[in-house]
Amino acid sequence: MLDALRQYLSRYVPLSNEEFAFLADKLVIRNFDKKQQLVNVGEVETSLNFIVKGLLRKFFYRDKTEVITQIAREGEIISSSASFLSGTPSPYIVEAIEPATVFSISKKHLEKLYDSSPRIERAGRLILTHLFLQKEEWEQGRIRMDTRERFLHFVQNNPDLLQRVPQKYLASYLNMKPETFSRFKHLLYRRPPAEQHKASQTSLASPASQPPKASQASQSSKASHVSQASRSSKASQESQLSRPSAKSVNPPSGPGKK
Amino acid sequence: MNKKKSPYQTALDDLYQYLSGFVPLTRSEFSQLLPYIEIREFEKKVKILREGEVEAYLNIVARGLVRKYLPFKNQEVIIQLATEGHIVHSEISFHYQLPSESIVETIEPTVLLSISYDSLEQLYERFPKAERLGRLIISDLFIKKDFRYFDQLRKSTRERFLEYIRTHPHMLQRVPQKYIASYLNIKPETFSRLKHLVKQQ
Repeated sequence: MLDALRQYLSRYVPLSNEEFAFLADKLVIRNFDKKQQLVNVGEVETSLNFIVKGLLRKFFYRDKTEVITQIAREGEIISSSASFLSGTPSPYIVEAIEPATVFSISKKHLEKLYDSSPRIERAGRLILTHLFLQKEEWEQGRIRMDTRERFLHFVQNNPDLLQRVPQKYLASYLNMKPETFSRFKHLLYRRPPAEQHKASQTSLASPASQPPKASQASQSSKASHVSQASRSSKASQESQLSRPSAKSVNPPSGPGKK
Repeated sequence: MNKKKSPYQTALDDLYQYLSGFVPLTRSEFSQLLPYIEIREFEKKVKILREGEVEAYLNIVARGLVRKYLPFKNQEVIIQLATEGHIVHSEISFHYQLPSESIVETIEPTVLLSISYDSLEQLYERFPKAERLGRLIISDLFIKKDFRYFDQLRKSTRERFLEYIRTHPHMLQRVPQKYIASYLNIKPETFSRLKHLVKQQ
């Protein structure tokens, strides 16, 4: 189980066995049932969570409506991060969509790690920088992508989540009406027969072949300075997974980021 | 030294205060940082970074006013208005050293304290406290950005407007209205209307 975490960290800073063991010693394993909350609105987030297994979401209520700002799966971090970092009450709820297992570290332990290991502190800085830049990318996407582009961008980069996450959650995450999401999804799956007819105008796929900002963003993720330490294919893969969140309209954070 | 400080000295003093807010820093440690910092001056309405250029600097505004915006469909969408003490640059371009999608441009004549990408990397290697400083500053920026985005998602146009003019009263004097409207993602007409409403009260 620790391998995934080690791999995640090594994309930022390769840690020695001792350093990693020292870090692993500070982790707590936590299990959550489906729909169980990790943190609620008004509580101060005490943990940073790395997902070992399962699927979780982060959301808040706008009036009575849930607005999802992140959907995260195995190998990603989820947390009410600004609350964790600032020590102020969380405006978000973090909740399990599927039964979940996470490695958690408390702020106190994390500070200890930073004090004792400059390399772990560097990893912390680089991970934070990466998450910060994803927020920036998210804002650029919010400005530049319309509903359909957001949908396509997301589907291309997260085909696994399309199967795994309830549709209404995805619609909320992508800031579109559930009906709109449903219609896009329908078009997507009907594509092959549609091509035989003359439905190419309605096909979602054609614009997907030339998403200008998307390619630029993936470029940026791939060449990411953050992952230069070990620019494995995993690194770029992960960055790609995180991009859609950065690009979609409402989520300040999303799959692949916290 | 002359009793009246030069603007640069003031800017450096401010920088010292800013950094000391994150990590205890002696004056002598601070002076070790200075060789890495450049002072750059710009007239108003000058593009500091054009679209497609790679961002070479991280800048702190010592004096003046800078905007960062995204060109989109013949429009400019403002994503940051930076005044004294704020960090402004094309972050994605800087950290990944890739062509910038956003443009950084002065609104007023501006003095920047800038550190280049290479200098920053050198600092991280040579200056033991840099790692912590960097981490805490990025944490701070992260928190602020998260709150800003959260507000954009949760608050109504009217709330965003009222909150902004309450917390940034001086900006209405300094910045063209259309820029603030763009930054707040409010139509210029709506912005005008809201402003009138507030005046009448």
